[in-house]
Amino acid sequence: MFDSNRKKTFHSQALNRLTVLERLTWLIPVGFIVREIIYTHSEIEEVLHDSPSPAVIIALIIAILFVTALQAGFWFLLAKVLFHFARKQIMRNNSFITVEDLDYYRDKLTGLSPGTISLLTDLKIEPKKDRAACILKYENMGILKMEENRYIVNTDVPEFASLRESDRFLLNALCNGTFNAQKEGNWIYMLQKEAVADGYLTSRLSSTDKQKETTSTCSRCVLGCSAPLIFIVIMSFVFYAFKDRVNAYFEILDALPETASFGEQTNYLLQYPEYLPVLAGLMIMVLLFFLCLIIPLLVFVGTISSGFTKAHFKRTTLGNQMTEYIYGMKNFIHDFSNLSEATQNELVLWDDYLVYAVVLEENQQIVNDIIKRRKSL
Amino acid sequence: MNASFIGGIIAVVVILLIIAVIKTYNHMVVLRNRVDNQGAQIEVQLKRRADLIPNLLETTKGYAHYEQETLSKITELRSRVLNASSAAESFEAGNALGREISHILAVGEQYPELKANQNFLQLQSELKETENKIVMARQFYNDTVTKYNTAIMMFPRSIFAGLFGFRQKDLLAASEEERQAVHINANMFQ
Repeated sequence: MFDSNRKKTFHSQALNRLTVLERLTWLIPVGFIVREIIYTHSEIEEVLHDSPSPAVIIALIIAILFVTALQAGFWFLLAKVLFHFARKQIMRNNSFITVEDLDYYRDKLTGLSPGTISLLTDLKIEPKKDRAACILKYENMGILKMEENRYIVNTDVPEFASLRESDRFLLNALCNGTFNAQKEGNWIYMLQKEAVADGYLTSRLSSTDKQKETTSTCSRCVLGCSAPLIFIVIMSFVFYAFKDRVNAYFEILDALPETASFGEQTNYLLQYPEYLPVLAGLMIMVLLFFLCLIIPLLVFVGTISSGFTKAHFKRTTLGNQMTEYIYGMKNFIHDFSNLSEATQNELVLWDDYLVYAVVLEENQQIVNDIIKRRKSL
Repeated sequence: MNASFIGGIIAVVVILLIIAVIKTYNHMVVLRNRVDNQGAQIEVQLKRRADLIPNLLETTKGYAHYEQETLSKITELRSRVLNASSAAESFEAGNALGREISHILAVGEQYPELKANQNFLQLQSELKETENKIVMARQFYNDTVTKYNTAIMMFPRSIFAGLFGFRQKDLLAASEEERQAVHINANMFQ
């Protein structure tokens, strides 16, 4: 019995970009560690020169990491939250429920326009790519051609009668050379309306969806507000656990001469191993205090980041089924062809498959060529 | 200590090499299986086309009289396609059968009553669709073969390809008759 709740995800270029960016956020703490080592290299050399014990080396590493955590923590967490929530939301957009568990789909996606295919993959239109795919489709149908640096529409082709409102709108704009930002918005709106009318998508503005979104946002806000409170409680416990020994610990620290090197300081403190938990507790309290300050900001940033990438539509059951075919087609083109390297001249050879390769982000070169051609008109 | 340190490094290098070899081998297996898979897809379409032959002959025989030799040839080619033991045999027989089908359809065009026959029109449509699928399947087959051949010829995979017995595969090219047919048709319009 097949699990109908199983999901698959389109790994679009946008999702891949965000995944890379999220991984690159680790360069922030690494960069700060390197910076810290460079700034304190003379002290580090001095410590290492004296053939230190393993305990001193461990203490040195902990000290560098602690300082880095305080310096880089805010920027690292900010970047991490920003990219993480955006990526999560795009993953939700790009995920669909499978029914037939297809890996490959070889037949043509009859009845699906490039705009609908694009909407079903990630619930949004990428104007440049999808416009290029539509132009390719019209050229394949014989409806559109380029003559003397302008687009000409051939209305005598039988397929012209089957064109939809969004196709006619786009063709008209292409021929007149008037495809600006406003017309782009209108075109996208038409494509979305058509996909909803065809039964592939439905709006997220139903009362159930609104309720879910409100619940999710409230949960996030409660977490953002309660986390600092929880940290304050933990800090209180830590302080309560060590309050009797904190004064004695500071007296021991005061006895240290100011000119003592890091190694000497560490060896001195190691003479009082019963106070190491106090030191650890103080470091934890400093870090928790730092987190108390920034967590509400991070939750706010995460909510905004997630909101920017949220789609206004979701797939219906029919939409999920068609999306699975599209997923299979993308895998088929990726694994069984070199369409990623095909040029526009090969349209007569590859027919609709070249259109699919463009709209499914398997071929970027044709998109660039069509954009260049449009700019030269 | 120096000896054990060097030994440790050698062990790590050997392990990494083994992992690289395994990954390379598996990748070549995947590419080769895709070639075989796509070849099977062509055979599926060729067999589907061969299955339409009896109905086509039945529909057209009341209108056109075929020579016994033609009917025997078609029957034999159809049998070779359906019972082919290898992809190469299936492709060769399929190509020859495709040419004979074209002749039958061309003959059918000469009879207006036949052209209006619904069964004939449906068969014509199905054959055209199957022909398109065969063409696309061949193109995809050539692309998968190109990917496979490129992978096993590139260094350093070429070393392992030779060791593990991965051989280059041939692309599907147009036969001499098909090239000549194009040439003849072009001359007709001069």
